[in-house]
Amino acid sequence: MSIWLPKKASKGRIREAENARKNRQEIVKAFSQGQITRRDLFKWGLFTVAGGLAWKHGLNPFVRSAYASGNIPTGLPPSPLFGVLPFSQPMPRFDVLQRNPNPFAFLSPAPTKEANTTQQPVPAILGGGTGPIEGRPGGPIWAHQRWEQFLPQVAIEATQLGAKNNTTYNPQVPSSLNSGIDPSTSLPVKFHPAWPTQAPNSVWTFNGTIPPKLAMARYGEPVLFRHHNGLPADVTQNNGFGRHTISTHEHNGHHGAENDGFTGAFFFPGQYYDYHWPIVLAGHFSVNTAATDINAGAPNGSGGITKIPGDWHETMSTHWFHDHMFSFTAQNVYKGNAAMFNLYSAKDRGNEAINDGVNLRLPSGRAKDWGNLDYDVNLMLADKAFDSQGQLSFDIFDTDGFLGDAVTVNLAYKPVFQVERRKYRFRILNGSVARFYKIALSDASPMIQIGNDGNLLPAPVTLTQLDQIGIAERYDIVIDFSRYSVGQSVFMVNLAEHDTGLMVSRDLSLSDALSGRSSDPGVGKFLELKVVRDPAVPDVSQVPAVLIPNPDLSKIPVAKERVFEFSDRASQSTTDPVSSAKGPWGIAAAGTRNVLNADFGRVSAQPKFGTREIWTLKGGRNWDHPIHIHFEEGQILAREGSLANVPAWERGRKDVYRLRPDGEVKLTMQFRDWGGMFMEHCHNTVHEDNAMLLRWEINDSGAPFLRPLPTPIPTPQGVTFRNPTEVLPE
Amino acid sequence: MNRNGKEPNMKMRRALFAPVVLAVFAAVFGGPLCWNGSPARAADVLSSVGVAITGIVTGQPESVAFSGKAVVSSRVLDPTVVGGVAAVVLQINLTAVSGVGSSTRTKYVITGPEIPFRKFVGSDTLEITFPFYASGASPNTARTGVASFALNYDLATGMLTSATGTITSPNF
Repeated sequence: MSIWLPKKASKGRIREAENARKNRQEIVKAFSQGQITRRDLFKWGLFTVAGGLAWKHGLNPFVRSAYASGNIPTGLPPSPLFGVLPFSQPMPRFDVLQRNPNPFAFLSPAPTKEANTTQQPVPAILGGGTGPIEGRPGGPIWAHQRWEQFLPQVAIEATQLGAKNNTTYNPQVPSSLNSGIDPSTSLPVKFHPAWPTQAPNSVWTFNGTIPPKLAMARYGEPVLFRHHNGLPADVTQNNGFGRHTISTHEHNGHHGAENDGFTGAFFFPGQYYDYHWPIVLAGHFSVNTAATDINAGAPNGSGGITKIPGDWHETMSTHWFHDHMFSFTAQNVYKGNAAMFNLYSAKDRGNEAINDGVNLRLPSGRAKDWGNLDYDVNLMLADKAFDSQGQLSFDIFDTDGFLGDAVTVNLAYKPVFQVERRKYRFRILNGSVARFYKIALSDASPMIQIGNDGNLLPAPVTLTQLDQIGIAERYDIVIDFSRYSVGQSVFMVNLAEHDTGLMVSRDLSLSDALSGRSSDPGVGKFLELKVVRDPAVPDVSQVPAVLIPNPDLSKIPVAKERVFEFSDRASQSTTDPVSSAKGPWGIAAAGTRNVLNADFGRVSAQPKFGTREIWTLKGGRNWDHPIHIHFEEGQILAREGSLANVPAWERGRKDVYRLRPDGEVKLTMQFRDWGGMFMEHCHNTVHEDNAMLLRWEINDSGAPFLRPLPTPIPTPQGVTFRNPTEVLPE
Repeated sequence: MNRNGKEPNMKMRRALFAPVVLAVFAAVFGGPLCWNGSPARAADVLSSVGVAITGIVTGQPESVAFSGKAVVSSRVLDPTVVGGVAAVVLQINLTAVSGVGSSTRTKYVITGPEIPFRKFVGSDTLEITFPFYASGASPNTARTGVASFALNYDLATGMLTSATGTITSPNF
């Protein structure tokens, strides 16, 4: 069953579907604006016990229609395309966020170790009175860990805002490398130039603009990311979906928990939150502590390397950051709270010409010491849907997962990217809510996968079809366009067909995906790569046979093994009105089969600081969960009980573990360097919000804090703390 | 403050409209729907067959004739909900298939595997693409071939019973 109406649907059926959509949107709006809760929806019978939208005519798109026959679903009305053809607009490169030296002089007020609780007036609609200017929980527990040791050297500042024109677009590449886009031209928030401009509260992005934002940093250079919340104070000003409170997760930063974007550490309009990203190699305090290994390093700005402590086998390259607001992550990320973050190191320098025996010389460019973006391209894939007026639209009522019918790349609908006849690196992020992609080139030419989840693989893997990329996974690939002639085009094609948001219904052959016969509008070509010229200088980039070998954990004893089971039909054991959620999805932990809904006040696991553990993640037959474990990179030891089932492209380090239907993943991780409360959850963000998420925290980090940690309870007037609602047995 | 960011004394606009509408929905249309289902088979069905496979991939710098045994492994997943569709996770391994260049007699190797996810039907025709390159050369020099398989399952047991395959040139 597809959730989309067939192309030949009658006007009556489309009208009925549109009415159903409007009815649902009223409920979505009321929910997102806080007029009703998810508990209310259950109580009123509008959600089934399984979490789906009740089978009610005029509400659920799958209700059998009087105009339909048999089991043909009513479906949703298709997004209007306003006569636009695919591949009729250039793909914009990411908009690079300004890096500002000396954060203490640049930022006002200057950043502080503990949250800045200077009081400011709170709008009456948020309760009035006064509240702190910084939304970070106050006091020593949420102070930046090792602040004095890693004082920020770079400030990056952004404000979450409603849609507005971009007059400061900075792609950091010339127009010739950005498909001819003139960055000095004001860019309105449109997913296609011929589509309507998005209303200010239809889209909420970093700085309120598109293209999506890119942060850049190098190892050994601590960053202070100040995130202002400039969203409307009135929670109802959201055009029907999205929540104005936010928490920003640097996925998968190796930072202290106070900077992780904990789901319960959200902040309000008018506040900011200082996220401190030290950018250290994992093992900073236990491996290569004297910083003698030349492979553990950072670009020094003049062609050399600044050696740093830590394990260079833990070097990371491609991150992203996004909202993690409890129960509203799907809506907020979909609405635009998603950006990417490139990390640069001695190994992955972003300079293809420096030949020092350390630098891998991956496709990038050569003009700058590090961070050349000329041939190093970020791609964010996200499927969207639009209402009849062309405004971004969202539907929470399919708790299987939301699917859009318009695939965008860098928030542009099916664009064209101009390339030269040479090698390019593409950092591909699946920034969707529930859609998986399986990518091939339209001529089936080989691609070289070099990274998975932001980590360079031990060795490159040559593929003609990438594996399915789950939500939040990142695949770094290299494509060599020298095989094509100037004027030729090749397309990226999605082979993964969905019927629902639960999982891919089937992978199509390339022929079938190109045929246009799929009922899923997300299948087929989504990005044209047009070869426009020969490179001006020879391509000296490389794809070495050895990239970054895995850290060897075999000699580190396993302190504990844990099993987590991800399932539906969850129950809730707590009733805290702030931290406890209700939904069909949940996680069984602590050695039980008791599947529990999320409660960010519940502590479900407490690995000890400095140890290594093995975690087994179990899925179910009817769905595929991309499970994200915060903070530490893991290595997959087995799938379905055997290392032989782990393909080469998953033999590096990962932070999102796609379970596959009825699958089981066994992985190992260390817990080092930083402490606090972190999360584990499904990154199908609809599953996460409904309520497949748990909190775990690192015990005995040496910090003089209570264990388990008290739970932050944010309000506009300040953050209070409560004891955990529940601590599951170890 | 509750989970949805509301202060108890917070002034809400239009606070009553949606609940009233929803309450009417709930009253008129009744209670929730329960899904109850049981799997046809108690556990995943694992099976594997070897497939003798041959074929020629034409193109530059030379045509390559492939032969060997492909291994097709299947894991059939029955749905556990009413209306669900049985699915199969395949793993197709071509590493025991190799090629010989028509003019240089160079040996060509294939890496893998490919892991397609399909709906479970009695007979399935599946086409995958694969990279191959001269043995000892860099995988970065890879070319592309196409392998087509006809797979037959026992619908009752879920076992993969037979398979045939051929290798051809890509023509997309």
